[in-house]
Amino acid sequence: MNWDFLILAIITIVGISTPILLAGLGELVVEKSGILNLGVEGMMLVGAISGFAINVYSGNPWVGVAGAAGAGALSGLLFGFFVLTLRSNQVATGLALTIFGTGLSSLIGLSFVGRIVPQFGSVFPPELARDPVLKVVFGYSPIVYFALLMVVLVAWFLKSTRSGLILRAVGENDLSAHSIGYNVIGVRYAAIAFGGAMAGIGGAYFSLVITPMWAERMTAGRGWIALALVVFASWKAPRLLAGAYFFGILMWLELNAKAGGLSFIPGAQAIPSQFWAAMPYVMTVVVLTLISMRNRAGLNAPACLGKPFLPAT
Amino acid sequence: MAILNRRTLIKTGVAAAALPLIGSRAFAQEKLKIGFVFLGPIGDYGWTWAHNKGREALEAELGGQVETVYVENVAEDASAIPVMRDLAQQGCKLIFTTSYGYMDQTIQVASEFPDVKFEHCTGFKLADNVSVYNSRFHEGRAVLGTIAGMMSKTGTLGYLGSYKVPEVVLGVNSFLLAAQKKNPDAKLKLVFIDSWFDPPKEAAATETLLNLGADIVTTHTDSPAALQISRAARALRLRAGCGHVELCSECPPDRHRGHLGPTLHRARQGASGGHLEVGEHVGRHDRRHGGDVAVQQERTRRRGRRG
Repeated sequence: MNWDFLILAIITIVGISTPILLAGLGELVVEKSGILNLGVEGMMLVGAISGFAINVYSGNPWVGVAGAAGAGALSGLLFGFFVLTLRSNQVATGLALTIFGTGLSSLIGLSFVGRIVPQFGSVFPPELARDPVLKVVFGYSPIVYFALLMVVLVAWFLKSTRSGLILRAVGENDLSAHSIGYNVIGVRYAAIAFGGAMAGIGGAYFSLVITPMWAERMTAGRGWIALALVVFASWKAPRLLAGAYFFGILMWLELNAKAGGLSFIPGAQAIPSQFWAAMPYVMTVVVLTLISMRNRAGLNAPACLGKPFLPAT
Repeated sequence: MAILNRRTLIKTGVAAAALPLIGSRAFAQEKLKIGFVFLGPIGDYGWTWAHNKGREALEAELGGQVETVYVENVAEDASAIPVMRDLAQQGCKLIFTTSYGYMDQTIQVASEFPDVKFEHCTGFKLADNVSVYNSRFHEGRAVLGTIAGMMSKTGTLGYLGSYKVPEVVLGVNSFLLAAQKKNPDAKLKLVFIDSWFDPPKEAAATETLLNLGADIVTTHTDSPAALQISRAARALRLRAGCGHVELCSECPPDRHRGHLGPTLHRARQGASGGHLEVGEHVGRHDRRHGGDVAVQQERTRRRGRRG
């Protein structure tokens, strides 16, 4: 193993971690408000095709990403209308949103297969972005830096702002928050819209950055990994960042195990790649177990997660 | 028997009634109804797209003699069985099951409908009314391997595989053997991503192959992700589309592609001629790739390790 290998490995890992980081961060805020939205995969696909389509017409990837955020938020609000206004079952509605988003994105995408879009330039001067060593810091798509910024903002929002406190209160005890005058439904709508926007940007990262093209179901199940990631991170933003990169490392290990690239780790070649592929899910279960053993108060899950809001009045 | 009689009767009646109206057309040869079971959407610009081109070519060339029906997005699991059964009950006398993963389902349904002929793509199981067909993909792979062997500077070649199934293994062996004829020290880094289609994984796997020293990457997956990555990384780009990816504006000219019209045509001729030649429709009827799957996999594994 040498430095070049390590640098390229880091770039690969950051690349495959970013979409699940974005989508996971959005879902974390949604779940903190007490809503379980299983439609992440659907919202990502809607974001992926919207971002791509808008980029085709506008010729500007920034407009494309903004459109992806908007489309993701809209699909989230559709989910919100059913679970908040009509009080439908959150699990069933979330699954329906995934199926709907998959189908809708395929339908919109019919005429976009094979189209070419303009791509992001580097946010840093090209000398930095192409430097063989410094590119490990400066050589990413702007969305990667946006994701990191959002981790800081979300962590700060939830921990240190009054609005964040209200959002957490709504997620921990909706009836109490309601009785002291907070607009539970409004807060949850806002959280769901944010979650949808983040999932949409995560989807757009696929169709605009990783592989600048549209193909049906191109997110290939990353929305579900994002859901596992939120649980893995025990609903904490900084842990979500660590968890996303940890999951990215596991995916990288899987591919390297297949290509025979792990010879620098003694014995690693003997481990089948399927072992690494299963690890994100195994680790989620392990973390859940460890947390519940250590902390008698439970898993740190928001107390009202997934429960319908039924005020007396 | 009663049904048969009635059907015959109705047919005769209809023919007699139609005779004054359409004249001799009523005596035209009965159309052969052909069913297609497709893995993806016909607009996937890949495998199913190529198969559908073959289907269209059949209709265009044979016009009134055939009628075709197809079912898209059929999963390679037990849910393919009712689809095939339904096609047979609709009156299809020849059914193309167009992906490797339909193999056992095809054999099962074929045993239920002995008078229906089945053509299974890229498999290795045969029955009295089931034969298999394939394109000579390995020839294109050998060309690519030759080019790769001549052009690679590091001597390390990357191969992005999908599943460990005969048609993929065939290409891998062919590619490496051809490359080693030009460069005896050529090594292969091989990754199976266990999916036909997973753009993010294809992209990450390509980056991994490049990072492991490959300066040429060829793929047997269905999206152009690998090509885009290798272009971005400014590696020597080389792509074997193998008739899978049809992003014409995106792919450089150094790939080969083909649609399956001629292969399907040959198979159809067998069926409409009253008997189907049970065997493999692969140009030269090269039987080797059907039977020697285990051997080939072992060979690939060894080559992969060596690399």
